[in-house]
Amino acid sequence: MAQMYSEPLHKSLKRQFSIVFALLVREMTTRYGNKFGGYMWAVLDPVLHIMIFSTVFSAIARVPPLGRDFALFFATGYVTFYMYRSTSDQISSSVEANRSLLNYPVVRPYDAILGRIILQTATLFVVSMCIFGVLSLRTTIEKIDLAPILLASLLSICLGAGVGAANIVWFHLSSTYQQVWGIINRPAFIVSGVFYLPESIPHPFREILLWNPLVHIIGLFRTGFYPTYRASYVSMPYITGLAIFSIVFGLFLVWLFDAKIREPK
Amino acid sequence: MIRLDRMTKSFKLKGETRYIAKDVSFTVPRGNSIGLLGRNGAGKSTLLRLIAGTIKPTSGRIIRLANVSFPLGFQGSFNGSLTGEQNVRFVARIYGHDTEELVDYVQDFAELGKSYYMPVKSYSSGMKARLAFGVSMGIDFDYYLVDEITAVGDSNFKKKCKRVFEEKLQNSDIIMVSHSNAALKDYCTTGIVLEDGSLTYFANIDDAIAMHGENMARR
Repeated sequence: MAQMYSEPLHKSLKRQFSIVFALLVREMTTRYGNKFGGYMWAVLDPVLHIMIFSTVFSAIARVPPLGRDFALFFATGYVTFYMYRSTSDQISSSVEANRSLLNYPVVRPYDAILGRIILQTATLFVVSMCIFGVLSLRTTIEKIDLAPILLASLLSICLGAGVGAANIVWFHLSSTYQQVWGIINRPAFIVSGVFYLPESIPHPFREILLWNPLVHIIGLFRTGFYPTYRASYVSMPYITGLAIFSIVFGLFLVWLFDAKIREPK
Repeated sequence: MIRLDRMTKSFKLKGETRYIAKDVSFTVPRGNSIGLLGRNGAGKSTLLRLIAGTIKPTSGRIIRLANVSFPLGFQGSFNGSLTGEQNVRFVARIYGHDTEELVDYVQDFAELGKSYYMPVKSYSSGMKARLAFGVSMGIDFDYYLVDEITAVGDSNFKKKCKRVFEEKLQNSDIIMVSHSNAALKDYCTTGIVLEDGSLTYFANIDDAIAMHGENMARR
């Protein structure tokens, strides 16, 4: 908003681009304070979860709900969930982490958010490539349909970015809410269909479960890896609508509370 | 030019609303340097940040038809794990400045030698200040914001800072918070006095200094 000049659009876009680029490079080289740690955990978090799920569930059941490989089944669920979760975490802390940079009049909260969305998307892309690359070595994946995979990833990241942006404001206004959010979201993957299919859930609970957009998004993602899986419960209007709404609403809140979040808590 | 248009800034402290300025309007044309005066806690630094645009007024607006700097010698943004050179590169990028040119300029100005390529967390406070001052001097602004002029480095370096800064002021103006009347008279032509939640603009710095003197004598 407060660009001091009334400069032509292409010039202010170029300026905007260079600011976001600068923040991107800075966060990439420091990755949230630590040189290697940040990236290592970005891969280790999903890898460890997938390993734990696979070990535990292969002891309980003989075959996963889809296909033969437990690891692939959990990977398709957890990676999709992780895209939402990690994006929402990264975005909700983006302004606080870059607070000192807001002392430069040219840097706005939006720049910090945008920089992190781009970096996060790129990181998730690499992480997913690594995980599914390794998995394709140990098990035969019959056929991969990229369209639903990419669409589900995009929706998951959008939803995460929107929730994260809204949380920048809510966390800033109330640290109690921040605590509560952290606690109720920890077991969120249990109700997101990471290690089961909604088809296997009995009648009244399945309908409740389907309110969770991540159940739909994970189902959509899985149709890309399991050609025979239909996932008829996936409602595209519901998840695209919600993803778009969440990002628009999140950024609107940041705009509305711009003055507030510029000042320390 | 900087214009305050019916600007109010207040904040709540333990349920009590305190004002820094209430519904003030005035215009400072280019070519005038502004001194900000007031007792401790009157809101001078807050006003400086309002003018910079890094915080927003409670109501009304501030219009800047000028390129306003970050606080002179600001070092809070330096990331300790990045080298001095990388931190300079960052500032060059956000201001759309030629990166290599600014990197070379600050290297030359700050005289940090090999430390320039070391992480900033290994710097002494003096070295950090030299780096920060170098960055401020390397980018051209219409207005430089100064929150208390603090001397940096040894006497030779101080002389250099003063010389370069005064060269800059040939084409730029300055908005300065200071408790030193001498510094205010040296650098500023106009003044703003903050007292008890009211903001008064003086077209002549001497009047502002006199007013501030009376305020201080009264209480």
